Amino acid sequence: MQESPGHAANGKGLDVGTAFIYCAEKQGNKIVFRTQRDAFFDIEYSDFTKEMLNKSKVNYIQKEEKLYVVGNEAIKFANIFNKNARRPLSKGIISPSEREALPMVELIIKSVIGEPRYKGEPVYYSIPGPPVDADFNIVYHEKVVHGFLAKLGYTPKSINEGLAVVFSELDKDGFTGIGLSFGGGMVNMCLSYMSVPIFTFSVSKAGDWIDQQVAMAVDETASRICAIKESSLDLTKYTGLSKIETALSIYYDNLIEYVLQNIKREFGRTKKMPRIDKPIAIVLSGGSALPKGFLNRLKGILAKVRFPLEVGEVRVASEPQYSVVRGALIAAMAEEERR
Amino acid sequence: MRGIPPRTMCDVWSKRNKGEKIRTVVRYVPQKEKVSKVDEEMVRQIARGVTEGLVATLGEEIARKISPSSSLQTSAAKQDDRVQIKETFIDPTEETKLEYNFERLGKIKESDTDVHKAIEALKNLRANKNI
Repeated sequence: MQESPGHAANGKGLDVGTAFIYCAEKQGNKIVFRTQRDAFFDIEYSDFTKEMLNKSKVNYIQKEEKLYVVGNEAIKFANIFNKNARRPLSKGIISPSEREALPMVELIIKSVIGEPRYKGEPVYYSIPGPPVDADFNIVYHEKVVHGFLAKLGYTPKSINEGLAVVFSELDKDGFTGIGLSFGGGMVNMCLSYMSVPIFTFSVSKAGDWIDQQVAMAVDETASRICAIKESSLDLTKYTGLSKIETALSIYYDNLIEYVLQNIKREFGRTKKMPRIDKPIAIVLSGGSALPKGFLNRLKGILAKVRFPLEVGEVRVASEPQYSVVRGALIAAMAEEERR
Repeated sequence: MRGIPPRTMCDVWSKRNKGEKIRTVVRYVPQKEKVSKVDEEMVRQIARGVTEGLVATLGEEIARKISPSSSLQTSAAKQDDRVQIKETFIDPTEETKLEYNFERLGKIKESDTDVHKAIEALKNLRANKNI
């Protein structure tokens, strides 16, 4: 590892999401993203099973008498066995019920982000905003991830997930507007004025909540619902839907309305609302904003909600799932270039 | 049982001390344990001035029956008395022996997206605003 940055002074971005971990770094003229699904599926250890996984090139971690299949294969295994994959993160933070998985989360983060290119390379990692509908805070999560990265030799700094979306998508709007990240565990919101986060919060319902509710409604596993949602959901359709698609459609509407009502309520409570003289842009990002028709669903519900700010353009980010990590990378590189 | 709901005879609170990798578990011990009617009768007999031998026998009997709660009461005579148990906090960054069959994880995607303009805009904005 180099002692000084030299010409490769870049920094990295890291999105520690409930469903996926993303890393972004600049290599030459390109931005390279690395994505890893944040899921495990545990199976009993045997020499035969281990050999089979090795031959199939399935990534696994062995801990004591268990083999933990990691990543996308964990979802596949879960679906084969008709069970749910285990998730080390829940509702945007390290799951309190999965503490034994912490060394594995550390290993996955390390394997995604890699070694720093020079000692003390800055990395901005995303953290959720304070939840308005759940009784927990993010301090433990933030410090644990900070510890992982510092141990690897990085200079870690946290960035609010919604603000990262603003950095990634609202540069032409002077970094003024609302960044919304519809992730797996949470929906994060940031109202930014000229790159300054005025107002940030999160709600603890998001993609996972949709999966769980639909799974209960149609008696399926959440992992299977997740697979269907990610592969074929089309929110432009209202008729001719299967039972699962109908349930997904209903719960998507419910989630969007819940998020917008929470934003409206929290804006109503705050005393620090800025006076912005032009309509503000809203940009949507995150893996749960990927289905076709999501934007129109949101616009339709937004039109019915008496939103407290004048809204201008509402759009989906060009690559919604990479917005947060891209914003984190921009923050890291901007800081590194200022040094 | 006054003041202590039956289901929370021994409530547990935990907190993590700042800067320390230890967790303090604070147990609130029940204020007072009910003395059975038999024990109360023994106490009354002692109070009436029975023989020394009987006093000794009953004293031993009382001690045997109520000593567990009695010993707790002596250390927790007041409602606010706390028994502190320090547990070792599991350091998440502690090395754990894991065997695994990969070096780097993750699907790679390259993008030609230009982040330079955003970086410049952010740098300028923050420099001007001294943020």
